[in-house]
Amino acid sequence: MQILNRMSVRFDSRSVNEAFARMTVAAFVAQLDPTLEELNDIKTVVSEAVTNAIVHGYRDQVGEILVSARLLEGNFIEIKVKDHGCGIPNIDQARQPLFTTGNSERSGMGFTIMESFSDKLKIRSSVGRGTTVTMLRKITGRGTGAND
Amino acid sequence: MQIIHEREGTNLVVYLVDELDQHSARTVIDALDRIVTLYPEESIILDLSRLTFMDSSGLAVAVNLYRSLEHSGRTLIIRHTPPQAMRVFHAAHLERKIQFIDQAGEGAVCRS
Repeated sequence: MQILNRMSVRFDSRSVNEAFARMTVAAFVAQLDPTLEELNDIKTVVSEAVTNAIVHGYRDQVGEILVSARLLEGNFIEIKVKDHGCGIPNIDQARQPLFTTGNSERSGMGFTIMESFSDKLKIRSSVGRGTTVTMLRKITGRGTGAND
Repeated sequence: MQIIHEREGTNLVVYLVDELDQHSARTVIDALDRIVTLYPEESIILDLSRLTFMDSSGLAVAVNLYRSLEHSGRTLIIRHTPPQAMRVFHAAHLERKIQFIDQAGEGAVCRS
């Protein structure tokens, strides 16, 4: 699929940056004129992926998170959230609902929400080297033709 | 994140205002724990009408509160849930465990 536009942003793995990350991607996808539900879904998946990087990837240390997004031909948005944290030893286990290595603030539903709210979810991880989560979502839009 | 509580009949209504994510979750869980202890008899209605965003951290908040109340024989009802937050609750099938009423923006009543 042809790339129509792209953006990337790097920031520290501090929880205060979760809102910054989801608002940034939401602002970028706004050019596809998404419905409110689509915009909220994008904010939700970004929040989940960034939170995973902060809580599970870097745990008690501060590292760098890279969030990038590409608008693709056919009104698709592809979002990548990458960290250089501890990695996920068992991705199949991590994707199971209610599985978490976090504390009582975590529900273990992060990947389930990401899967529910995106069309395609890909997780690549290497222990000791980090994790990249890639999500693809078709934007139907409000039909006002804002995509050029 | 602001947490406001007030009496409504025999229940206690707790309003969550602003965005609920991992950044604010610890504060909310601690505040709700204090409220549960401070009002040992009351069941709680969690009013989400002023919640502007919620990710899966909200599930942990709701489940923690549900368990605290259930432990002392009380109930939790969540009302006026915005559509975005309701989609997160639905994805986790939490409506099977917790009673949701008067969802915001839809005028519907969803009971478990």
